[in-house]
Amino acid sequence: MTQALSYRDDGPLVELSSRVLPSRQVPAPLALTAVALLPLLAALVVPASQAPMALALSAVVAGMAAGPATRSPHDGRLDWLVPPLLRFAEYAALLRLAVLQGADAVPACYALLAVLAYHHYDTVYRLRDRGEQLPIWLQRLGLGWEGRLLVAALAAQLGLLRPALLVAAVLLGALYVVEGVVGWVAASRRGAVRVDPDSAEPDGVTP
Amino acid sequence: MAVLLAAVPGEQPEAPAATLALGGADATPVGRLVEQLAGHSAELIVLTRPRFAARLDGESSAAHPVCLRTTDDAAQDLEAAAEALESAGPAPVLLVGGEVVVHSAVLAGILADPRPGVTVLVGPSRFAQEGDDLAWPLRAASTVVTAASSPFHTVSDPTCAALGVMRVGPAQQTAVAGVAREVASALRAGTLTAEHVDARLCGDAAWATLLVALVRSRVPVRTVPLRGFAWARPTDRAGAERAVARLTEVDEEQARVDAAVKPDDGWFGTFFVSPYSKYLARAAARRGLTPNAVTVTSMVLGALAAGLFAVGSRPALVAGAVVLHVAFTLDCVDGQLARYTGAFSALGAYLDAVFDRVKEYLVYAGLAVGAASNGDDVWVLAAAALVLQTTHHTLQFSWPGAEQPGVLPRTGPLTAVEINGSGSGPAQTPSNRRAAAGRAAAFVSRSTEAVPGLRWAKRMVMFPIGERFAVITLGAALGGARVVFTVFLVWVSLALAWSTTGRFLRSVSR
Repeated sequence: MTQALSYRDDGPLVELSSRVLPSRQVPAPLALTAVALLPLLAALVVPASQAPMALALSAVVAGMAAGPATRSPHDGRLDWLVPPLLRFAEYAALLRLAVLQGADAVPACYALLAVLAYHHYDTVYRLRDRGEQLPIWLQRLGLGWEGRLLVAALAAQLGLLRPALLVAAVLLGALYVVEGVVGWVAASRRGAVRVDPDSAEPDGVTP
Repeated sequence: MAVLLAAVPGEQPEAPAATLALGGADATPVGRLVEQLAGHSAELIVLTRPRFAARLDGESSAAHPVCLRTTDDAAQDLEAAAEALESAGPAPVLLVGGEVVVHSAVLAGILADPRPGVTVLVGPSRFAQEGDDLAWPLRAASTVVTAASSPFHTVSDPTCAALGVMRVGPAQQTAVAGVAREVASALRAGTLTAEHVDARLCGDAAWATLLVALVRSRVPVRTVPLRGFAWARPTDRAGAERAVARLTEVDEEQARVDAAVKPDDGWFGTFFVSPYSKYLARAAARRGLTPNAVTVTSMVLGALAAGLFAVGSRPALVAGAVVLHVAFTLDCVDGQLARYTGAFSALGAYLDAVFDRVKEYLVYAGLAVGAASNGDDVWVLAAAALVLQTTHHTLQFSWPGAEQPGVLPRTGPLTAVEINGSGSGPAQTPSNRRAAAGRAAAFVSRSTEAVPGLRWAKRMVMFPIGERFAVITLGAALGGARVVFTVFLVWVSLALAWSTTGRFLRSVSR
């Protein structure tokens, strides 16, 4: 499994559509995944009062459209663009949603984004240093990028975005931190954690 | 276990280069190596030709017993090495040229290197070009060796030189032994030929050809840089005198401290932190502090800095900036301490990385809270900074996965003198536009590497961790949260544009 495929963090809609929609040819994952930008675009373009529903709808459409892409091994020339595109599409859409709701929703959004960022960094470190993929149950509990966008949009429609963001931040934060600590300590006790001075920070600048 | 190959002839007929006199006290390269390695290795094996055996017998002493074996040619050298590898225990095995003269810290370092697999000591390519010492030109992409040379193989465009020290990790010992036996049979079968066979180089044929075979059979071979230490591999008296001079003129302790700094640091780290943090690393080593203790302290201080930023007043911002700079310095020290003592821990690198992220995003939040207490709402800016920075990191994380096909060594038969082409897969003739894009990217890359100012500028554009913390520290102390985030957002957007465009051009040109 290439890194690009491992870093996607897809949710139930994508999973469903990848199983249901028939496709003989493996499609270009980058082109299909570009639809993930639809929710962000909707939230930017549609007037504030209808934005949550527009975002929810486009999250569903994007999730269904991106499904077949997961069958590709993501080893094409430009497929390395898929994970950063998904990160940006999701985080920016959540931020836009919070901004539309009101200034007091933005700190809550920051909290959730920080939790999601921790989770996504942990996915990378886990693969690099433990050779382990993220467990499926953990990925499913997180709902994936399109699942989270859908839930946030529905919460915003009900005027409950700020509490929803806070609750999600606390619950997911606890889940990820506990699973992380347990997993990493167990792996290091097993001797399964690789030490590689070269694989240090991406801030070692050679691209 | 260490296997010393001492078949390179010196100036006299019965004396190998490994027994050249190095100044007083009857020191010889092989004698030095035996003494240096005795502490690290349970078993020392010396392989040499029958006519040199008498001279080398004298090197074995009661203090450092050595198993001396005679071999007639490179093929037998390799078979003896394969035997040694197969019988070696769980410790790493060193394959060293007996003429190598190097500081003890280098050998200790390569033995303590935590990377699994095969590593080879390398230095700048001028060591191989000047022709005075015995060094083999190599081509390496970042730290992976992609092409090696030997008496029978050449490398065009070498980027570094192999210095005659190879370490085989426990997991690779059987594989390397297998490759060694294959090379031995190729040598016996006479399938490997050379245009002119320099007797001096032929003595090292076993070591060099083994390296070529490993690289071509896709066994990952990584490089360990010499850094500032002294090295020589003399083959005559003049070379021996140069070796002595080099050993005395380089201060080993200073080189140890300097080698603690990682080679690919950013501009801010290199010029504003590492000059003194490496001495802090040495001080920490002398006090028996562990790298993990330093990592945790750095995290605590980072959280403290975030808390101070959250207070929001100017004195608190300045205090927070100072504390954050100390936290960042310690963040550099923990890695340098690990490199200085060779004590790499499994969780250490992970903790270092995770705490770096937590510190940074906590600090953004702290700045936003502080600004809010002053009536300025910068939460959207803080969140935007998180979004763009995470996107940039994700881009960098996903990119190496795409690069792998190009970074793999060029494979091919051992009989080919040089392997050209772009590695595995059918050769593709890129379209003109693609080729032009690739040439443009390569030209920009090469020209910016040549000029030092431009090289640093290229690194700075990437907005690495040192530069990010510098923006936060200086921005908070001198301006406040809004200034920090404004500069930050401009810089990270530039970095994203630069990274994406450069990599896009390179991908499209394949």
